[in-house]
Amino acid sequence: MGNPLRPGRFLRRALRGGVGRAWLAGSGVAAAALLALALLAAYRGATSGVAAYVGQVGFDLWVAPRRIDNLVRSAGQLPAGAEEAVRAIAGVAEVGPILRSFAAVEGGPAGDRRRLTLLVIGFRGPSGLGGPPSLVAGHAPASPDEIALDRGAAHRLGVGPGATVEVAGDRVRVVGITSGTNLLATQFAFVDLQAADDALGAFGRPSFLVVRLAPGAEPDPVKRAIEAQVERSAAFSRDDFVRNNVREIASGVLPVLALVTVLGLAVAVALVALLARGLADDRRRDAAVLLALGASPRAVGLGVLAHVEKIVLLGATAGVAAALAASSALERFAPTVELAVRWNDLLAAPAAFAAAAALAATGAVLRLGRVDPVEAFRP
Amino acid sequence: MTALELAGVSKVRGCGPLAVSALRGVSLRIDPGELVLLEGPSGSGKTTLLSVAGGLLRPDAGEVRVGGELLPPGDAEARRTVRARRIGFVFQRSNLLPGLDGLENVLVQAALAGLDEPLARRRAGELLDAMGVGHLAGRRVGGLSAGEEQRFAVARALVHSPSLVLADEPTASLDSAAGRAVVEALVALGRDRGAAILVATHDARLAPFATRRLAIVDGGVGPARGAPGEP
Repeated sequence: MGNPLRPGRFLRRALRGGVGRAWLAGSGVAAAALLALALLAAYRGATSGVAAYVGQVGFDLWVAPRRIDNLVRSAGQLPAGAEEAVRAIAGVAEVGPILRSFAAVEGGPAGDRRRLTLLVIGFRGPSGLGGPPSLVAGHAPASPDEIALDRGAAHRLGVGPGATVEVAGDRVRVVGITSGTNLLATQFAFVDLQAADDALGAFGRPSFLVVRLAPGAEPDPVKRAIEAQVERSAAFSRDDFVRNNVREIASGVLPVLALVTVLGLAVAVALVALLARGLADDRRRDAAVLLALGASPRAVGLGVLAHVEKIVLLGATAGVAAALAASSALERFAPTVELAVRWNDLLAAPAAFAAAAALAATGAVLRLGRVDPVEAFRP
Repeated sequence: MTALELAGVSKVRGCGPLAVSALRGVSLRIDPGELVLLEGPSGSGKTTLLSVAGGLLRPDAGEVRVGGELLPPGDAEARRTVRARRIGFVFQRSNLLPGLDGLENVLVQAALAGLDEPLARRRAGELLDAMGVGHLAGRRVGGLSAGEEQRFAVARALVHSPSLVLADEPTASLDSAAGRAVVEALVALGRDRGAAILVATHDARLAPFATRRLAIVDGGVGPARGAPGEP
């Protein structure tokens, strides 16, 4: 026996069909992947801003006035002297007071002034606890006449580092642009604690305290000590406080976004399944010819399945690339739209599509296995 | 050895009130090198007979042997194996696979028959040259004329040196000259290789090439009108 010609290498190519149809199907899958990833990214982006800020490394505990458990929708202040009382507790390494309020911020070029209401965080800048999670330009505010703006807010106001904006009537200079600080409905702005205190007339009473624990300190005893030492206060672990804030966001626009995302994902998966089934059904005649010539139904079925999966995975990969490109373009040219593209979504979407395609194509492939080879005789 | 032997073959197509006895106790022998025409009006059962003879359909009763090998009615895998090794098909349309080029369409049958690659390539090359399409071997199916496609289909049917070639209206989609050329090549190359050829056709131009002409009427097979043995 010499070197037998293997049918597999011909079957795989014989079952590929026309290039045009494969391109169309692949493009459809890519569009579905882009839709799915964009919806997932928008959904995640809605909560990622608050989670990125509240859940920063080093923010081990949050101390809030009693009956207030989140930053997003709250009003209240801790008693004067709370900061010193917390700092004195064993296991506390650092304390950062935060003064939080909504304020109108106005800026932009003359003749095109714009006004936004932002969630303004006063903190002890430039390096105290409570500052922005990340800066994409400039630095954190270090004096009462400086402000750092979320990049989406800066884009909407049409300002950048060096520009002057008005916060509740006071002129301040933009010194930093932050990221991970977009809440969809509003954005963060960061100012010096003293400036915020003066503007609000808080008289040294912070809205919240952020606590960094000493290495090895257990959070629960410190929480209990804080609640005992600081009158009318409640302490939260970072994870609990993140959860509370996400819950507040979720009670607003998120349910609608979640519904749209779920429906969009369902449509995307159904579209991929339909395309996969169409691709498999499209191979019916060639399958009948191959079966008539003596190919095994199993080999033909696997060939069709491989053909479908290849197109779906190529299309999904193109969709992933398009989603990354879209996210990058939005970040650069329209940062008001926060798309939180995550690697697990980038992997999950093609995997879900491949599974849906395999399921849909398997039905078609099983039918192909029952194709009457006599069909090859039909003109 | 007989190339094709049908013994008491019956086949019903369809089911329920639409069931039709397409073949009723058909017995038939075709020897190597013979070209037998199978005539009859549309719907008379010509394609059913070809399908049963080719192991594509199993008979409800009777036996089918190709090159002496039984096509077991209850064993689709065994029928498939015999089909791949011993039978060649020429369809009304070429039914070339558009994902492959001309040569690969020929080689796919050789691969299914288990031929060694050097032998398969040599035979395919010889056949394509003999069919006058050797220079088109690398061309995609979409770039071939109907006549050229059918010549590749004939080469595909012969590349594994089958005992039997079954052809269903092989000239129906071709003009007169192309049809004649395809049939002449099929007959010459088939006979050279000792293959029996059974052709279902309406095309009277094929009669001069036939060693026998049969007609299928009411599910039975007998000599065609005007053929030797038929008044």
